Amino acid sequence: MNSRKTRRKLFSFFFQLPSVFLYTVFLIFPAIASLYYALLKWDGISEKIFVGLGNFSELLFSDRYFGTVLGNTFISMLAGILIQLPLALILAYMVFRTVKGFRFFQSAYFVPVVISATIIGLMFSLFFNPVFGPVNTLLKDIGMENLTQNWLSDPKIVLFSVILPGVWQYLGYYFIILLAAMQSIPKELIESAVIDGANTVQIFHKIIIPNIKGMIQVCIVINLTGSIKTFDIPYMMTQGGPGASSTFLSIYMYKEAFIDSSIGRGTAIAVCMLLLAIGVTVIVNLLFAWINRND
Amino acid sequence: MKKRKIKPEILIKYIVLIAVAVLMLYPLFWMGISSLKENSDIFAKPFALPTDPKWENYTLAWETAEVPLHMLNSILYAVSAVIFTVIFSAMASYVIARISTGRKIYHYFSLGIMIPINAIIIPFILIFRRIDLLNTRQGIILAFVVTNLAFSIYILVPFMKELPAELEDAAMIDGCGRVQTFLRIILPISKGGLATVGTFVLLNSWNDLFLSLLIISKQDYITLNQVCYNMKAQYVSDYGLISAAVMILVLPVLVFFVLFQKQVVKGMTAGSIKG
Amino acid sequence: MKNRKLRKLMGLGLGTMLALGTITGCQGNGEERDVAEETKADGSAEGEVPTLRLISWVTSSDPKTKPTYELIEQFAQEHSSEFKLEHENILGDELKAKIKTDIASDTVPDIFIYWGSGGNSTMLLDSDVIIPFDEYLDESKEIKRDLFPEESFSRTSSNDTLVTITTGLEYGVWLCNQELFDQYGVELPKTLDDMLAMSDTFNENGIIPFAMGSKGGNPAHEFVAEILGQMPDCEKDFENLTDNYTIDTENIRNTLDIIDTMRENKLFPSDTVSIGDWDQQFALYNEGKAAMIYAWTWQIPNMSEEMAEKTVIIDAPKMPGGTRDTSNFTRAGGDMGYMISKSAWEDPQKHDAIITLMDYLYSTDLQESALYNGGTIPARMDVEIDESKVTVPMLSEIINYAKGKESCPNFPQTCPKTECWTDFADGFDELFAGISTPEQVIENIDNSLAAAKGN
Repeated sequence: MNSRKTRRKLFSFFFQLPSVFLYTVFLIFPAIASLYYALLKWDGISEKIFVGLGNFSELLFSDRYFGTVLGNTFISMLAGILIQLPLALILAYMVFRTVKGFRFFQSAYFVPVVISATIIGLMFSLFFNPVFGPVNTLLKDIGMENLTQNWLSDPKIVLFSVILPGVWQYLGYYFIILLAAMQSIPKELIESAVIDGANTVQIFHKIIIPNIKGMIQVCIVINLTGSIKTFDIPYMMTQGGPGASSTFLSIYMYKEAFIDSSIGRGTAIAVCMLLLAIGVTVIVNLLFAWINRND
Repeated sequence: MKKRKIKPEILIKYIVLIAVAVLMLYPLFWMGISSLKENSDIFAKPFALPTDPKWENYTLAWETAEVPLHMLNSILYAVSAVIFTVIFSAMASYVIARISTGRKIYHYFSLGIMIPINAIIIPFILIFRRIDLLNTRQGIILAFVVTNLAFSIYILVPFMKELPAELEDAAMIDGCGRVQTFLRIILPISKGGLATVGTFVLLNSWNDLFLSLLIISKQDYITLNQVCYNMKAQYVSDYGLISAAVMILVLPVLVFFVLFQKQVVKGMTAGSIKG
Repeated sequence: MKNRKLRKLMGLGLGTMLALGTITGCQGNGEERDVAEETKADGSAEGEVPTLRLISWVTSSDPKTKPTYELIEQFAQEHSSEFKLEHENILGDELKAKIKTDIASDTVPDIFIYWGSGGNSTMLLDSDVIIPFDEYLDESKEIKRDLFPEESFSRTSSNDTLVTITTGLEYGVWLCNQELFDQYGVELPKTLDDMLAMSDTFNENGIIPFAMGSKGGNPAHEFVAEILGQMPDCEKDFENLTDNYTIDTENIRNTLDIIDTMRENKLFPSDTVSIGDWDQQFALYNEGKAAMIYAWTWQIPNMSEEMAEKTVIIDAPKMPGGTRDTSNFTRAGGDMGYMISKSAWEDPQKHDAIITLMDYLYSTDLQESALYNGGTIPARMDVEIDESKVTVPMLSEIINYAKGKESCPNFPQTCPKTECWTDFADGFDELFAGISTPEQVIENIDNSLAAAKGN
């Protein structure tokens, strides 16, 4: 080995060291410890009892709510990638092709992102108040009284009432990322397309989409994993109720681990969240690898 | 000058864009007007502008929330978290993206964006206790840094991969060492990416509640967000006062974003988009 | 290529080893330091001042508790030669998460406010996190059992062992907005039938007859207990829950049926989750949108002067099957008190300082400050209430109405296992929202209780 190689290795090692070290000690170790907790029956105080996969089989086979909770989480994930991301993409394209007011729209759409999710949850729980909340008041004022709803206690509706604020809040987040991606497309590509007579829609799917595919992939991954972790807004609005109608995996985990003190069960739910997140990430990556290959 | 006719589709586009902007801004606006009202006004006339603006809400919020102290805490934690996260993740990303081009270590880090912090909080806190960092400023800063590292590297690596190699090579030929190259060349040209990462770390830290509740609960150390949360007592809530406190909380980050939006947006470009 | 991979692996391995080293290393340091502290304690304890960690709901961020917070600070300063105070605040249900995380990671605060009810405290007592409160009372020169109402102790005990004493008393009362009743020509209700009869009139005029909601079981669970409290021998139903892990009794069935009838007759707001939790339930009444409320005194500081003038207290309307004389029935509550960490108590350095601080936390000074600034009804019976200094509207009136009347337990206090409480909360949420029948609610809660019993 020559000294240059050694130096390079030393350099690589020391430059990665702080991140690898901190990340491993403070995130990966606790995560591994959690995997272990998930195999226990433990309330955080008393003796730890090893139950193997007992917590998981209990969740899967005899838990009254787990199915609903899993379903809710899937719906929230779908809302993210089928509603939020497409909206963000379309808005980003519209703003991208706009000259006047560009900066205004760009900042305006990002404003909700800077507010803490707890506050957003608190605010929307006031908005949806059936008696004095603005939503029902507005519906009554414009004569659509029959559209007023029990936004937070009708089990058919509540799930959407708690998903909506999150879709709204983080729309701007994806909007900004996608807009930035569009801006980095070489101008000539678009100009030449315009000269060739391509219309707005054609430019969108012939030039924009293929060029920002990578970023769309990143957005999908962040969005899906984010949906799995979502906690603050629904917890502030309904605490997951009534029943489990608006409970997501993260809320269920929190209730089990911290309100009920079943740390083992709670952690088992957390492990399910982690597996789900890894699963969808792998699927998305495979999907995009396949798309790229077929291009 | 001849008057240009506005095409209908452009008009529609603007109507849509403006409608969305209103939707996006309205809740903040609502919070703003509520911060000048009494509880009863908020409930009775939620849409109305305050007839008799209650500016006392702000003075009261400022005093009871001890804004200067807690805002300084928030700024200290968020800014330190940003600095450390950005430096550490830039160093690691540089190596991963340009020297060892490792997929495995990159995957190892991207695992981190999937781990919900709530899920690992007990062993997490246990470590903090072991090294005696509970209820310390260093502790909360460290917590913010480690929880943001994975995401930062996830964003920065693809970004750095796309940087032109020529500059770096030139610097190396000029006899700069790796460290020199990193400091003089890589950091300045990655400004955009660093700004993006910095913004998200800033927002995450500024708005964090869960970690702060568990790591720092000493009155002198708590953040402005924690104070706002404390104001929403379980049994009795003065929403006008809380709204005022929230406005005070939101304003600094809002100003920050408007000032730096060009940097922030730029940072999300180039590198990360190649599939 | 291979070389690179190898190097990366090596790097990782090294990093991990270093990490492991640091953790174990730090553990070692910690132990050493503990030893050092102990030797110091054995030697001259005077030089070192112990640090006491206190968690309370008395925060400087709330104008109502700020004066009390400052009194505690001042007290700590005056006693700075005895201890150094670290005062922390975690409000609301997050306190549960905080304490549980602290316990699991072995950082229990020395003194902390917590729910004394059996469902919350049994776990802490059984696993030696806290001391039986009598150990403190025996040593304290200032705070004695007989300063506090005997009947409050059942709310802060776990299987007959006192775990704390409530810092304040609370009462649950039925309030009516007299103005609305006059306006629509409705008599104040005396029975369930009266209540059902008034429902239509108020609903037609856009008024919610009765402010009630259920989010995470709040405030519904107190209301369920209130109705159950009218049933014959209801104490037995509560005991049965604690001892036999079931709520499947005739009285409880009857109670849930009554609530279902109320819901069907639209006495409650339609969206009970949204109106759930204490603040929104009370706001509904306070803003004149509801004609009646079953409210607790911790909500009263929220009442406007204007509403206080319109409000009258009524005896609980009689429920079918109820045998209680409701004119002599006002449920009392208050189960939050300071608990003492066992390990801190056994630490000779902290022991005396804990007594000093606890004595102050239960002193008349603080009780008065909490009463006059925040409207907390003093638990100590030797506090003379000066009505002219009570700033919270109606509070004196309620105290005079409620004092000394019959009471009955509630569910958090009789729920036998901590882990069952969310099932109660979920059950009540579903019942009030009308998505589960009383039978289903009982069945679900009983299933959870049965499962918990086995553990």
